Amino acid sequence: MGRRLIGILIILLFLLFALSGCWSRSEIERLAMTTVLGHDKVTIDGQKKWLVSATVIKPRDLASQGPLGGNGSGGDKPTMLVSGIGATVWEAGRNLATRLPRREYIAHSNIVIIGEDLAREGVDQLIDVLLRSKDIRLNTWVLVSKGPALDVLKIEPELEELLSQEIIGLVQNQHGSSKAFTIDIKRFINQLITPGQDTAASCIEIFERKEGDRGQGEGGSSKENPQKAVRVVGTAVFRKDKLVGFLDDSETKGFLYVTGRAKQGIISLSLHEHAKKDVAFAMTRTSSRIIPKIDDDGVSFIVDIHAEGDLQQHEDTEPVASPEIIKAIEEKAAQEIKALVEKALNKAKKDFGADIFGFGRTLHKRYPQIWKGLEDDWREIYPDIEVTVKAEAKIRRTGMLTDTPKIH
Amino acid sequence: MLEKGKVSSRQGILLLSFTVVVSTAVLIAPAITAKAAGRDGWICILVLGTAYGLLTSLVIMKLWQRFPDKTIIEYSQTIAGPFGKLIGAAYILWFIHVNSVVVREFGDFIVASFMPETPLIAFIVILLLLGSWATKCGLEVICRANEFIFPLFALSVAGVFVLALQESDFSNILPIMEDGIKPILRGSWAPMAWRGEIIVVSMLLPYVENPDKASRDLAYSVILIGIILTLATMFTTAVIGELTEYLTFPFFELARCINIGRFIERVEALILVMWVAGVTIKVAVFFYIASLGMGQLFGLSDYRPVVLPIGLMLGVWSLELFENSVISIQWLAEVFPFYSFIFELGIPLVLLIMAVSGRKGGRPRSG
Repeated sequence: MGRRLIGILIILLFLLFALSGCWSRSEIERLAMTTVLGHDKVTIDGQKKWLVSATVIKPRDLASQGPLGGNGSGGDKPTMLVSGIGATVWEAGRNLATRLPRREYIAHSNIVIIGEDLAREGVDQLIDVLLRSKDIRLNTWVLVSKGPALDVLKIEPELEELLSQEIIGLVQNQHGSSKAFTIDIKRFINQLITPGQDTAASCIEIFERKEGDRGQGEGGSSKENPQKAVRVVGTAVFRKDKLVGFLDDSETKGFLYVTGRAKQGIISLSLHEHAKKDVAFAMTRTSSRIIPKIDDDGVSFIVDIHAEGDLQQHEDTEPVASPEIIKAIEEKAAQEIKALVEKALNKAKKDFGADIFGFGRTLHKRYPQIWKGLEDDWREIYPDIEVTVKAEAKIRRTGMLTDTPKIH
Repeated sequence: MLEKGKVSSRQGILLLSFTVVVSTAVLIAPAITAKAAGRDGWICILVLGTAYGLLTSLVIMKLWQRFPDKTIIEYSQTIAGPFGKLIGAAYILWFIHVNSVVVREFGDFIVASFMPETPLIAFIVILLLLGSWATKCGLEVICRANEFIFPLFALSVAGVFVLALQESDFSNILPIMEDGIKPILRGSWAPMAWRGEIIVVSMLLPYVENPDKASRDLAYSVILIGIILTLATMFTTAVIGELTEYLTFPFFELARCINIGRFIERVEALILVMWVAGVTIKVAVFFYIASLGMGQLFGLSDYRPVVLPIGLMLGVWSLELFENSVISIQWLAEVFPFYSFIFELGIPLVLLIMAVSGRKGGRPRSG
């Protein structure tokens, strides 16, 4: 009986410690949740320093739903922008604490923005930063900003409440137009360290909103309408670890075709002689293969693209609903795809010398022995490599209409 | 006999050895094989690992057929006489040492990935309290606990595989054997040593209720372990790619990458479930066989009095074992295999040869 009592007391004593909660608990009201992380390099007193900026959610403001109208002083923004400077990224990050009354908590950041200058200088030092911390996930999106990353963080979101939601929405909505490349940390760094492959990142840019963009209903409200907004479009191309330039939206489309990541989007074609662009081909799915070919002249590649889609728009009254005309549209679409791809290929090969398509990687996977001989000289060989583009487009349906109705 | 309980062959051999081997290997094997063999890590585990596992189990079974009611501690004395006592003592030390490494890995992983501010000793003490309790309760309790945990463990692993399918790009595994056989041989040592941990069944076989099924179950277990670990390594390479060899816990990162429609994500808690559940069983098993072995070696009437001293030893040893995580990984990859080969295959093989040549033990049953 006595032993039993002592046993129970000992267990109760242990419970005393265990039930008081976790050892290293972090109460949510003691944390400052960062959402977007921006990395820049700045020169201070002749020394290069890291500038890390973050937007931190203000929990109270987010909880009180409703339109965020008001006096536009910035005091009622749902987020707070903080930045810190330091000799290393983590020192700069921890220096955020001098501005934050709560502990910074980065596990909920799902966007990393790299400033253009830093990207041009090289992202080699960032690799370690993005991988070593347990709080940064490998599926965090990587974007390169045109201009400093800090500037992007200053932008106010237009549709969503938080800038991070806005950017994530933009990134995830890109498959609808196939005009922007999107990538997460895992693939970004994998491509950096894979032989025969250069990496690329999404490109985020700030643009001035025109007057006409302003919301109609606001009328004479005192809210200062933010004149700047962000968009995610194009591709930031890296050669090794350095940013070498950007692909614009149509080149990005070509790039996405090669890598098989173009999902949806519209291709405008001119079918009839007298019209400029009168047919819209809406892709529903695409696939692509890069096939390395070895012959006496060396290595060449075939890019084989299959696109499938619907006829979305036809601006002319000529009949389209006949197998021959559909065939003609398909051929036009294939030519257009081919043109887009070749444009992207040329730019990446000749202007940037960056193998963002992974031709070298494909060769490595397919013909490891031949790759061994070429690996060291790949950067010299790559710009002159011969790539044949084969494109095929298929129209499956014509929507809710056959021929366009004629006006009499 | 010190242990009066009886377990079925399925409980004690098939399921228990699965948990013992897979619980730690699933998290660490992909990292260590990738360091040596890159994207070919899965071959190391599949081919040489399984071959070694089968060989080890063959030796264990042959020995056991000669001494059906004796553990390795007992029959090494029958075979080698006074020298056998030394062998038994070495085995007990090895069990304790391996166990302290497991305890340390357990704490290190949780501190590194979930709770960086909690001192290591907190996890070690809790795990050892649980382990010593299980040991005191005996083999039957450990096996039954494992029978409960096994489905959770297996479902977590399988769940991670299924959910990771969407993220996988199996072209990351190509080209196969680019640099020939050498890196694969180099990467095989650690997985072989892990697979050889099924030597623990040599301490459990006398307590199996239906001995006729034991050989078959042991072989099944080795093959099942091989399949699971190979899949784990393949999936890790397919999802993480070239990064695998740089990460400390690539399989954990694999779980973190899972994201299905922004609906099923952040499932790394599954990894913690299997880690805590599996390692608890593994630690309990090693703890138990060390205690049981010590009882048999010194001819005690009960093994329970030695449980607490062994627990203290485990605690101190695991805390002082490695100065930092770099040393621990290096030790696991470079020292542990060769050290373990002695106990997993070396000594049993010598014992078997001595038993056969000295005609010791009963005649091996056919079948």
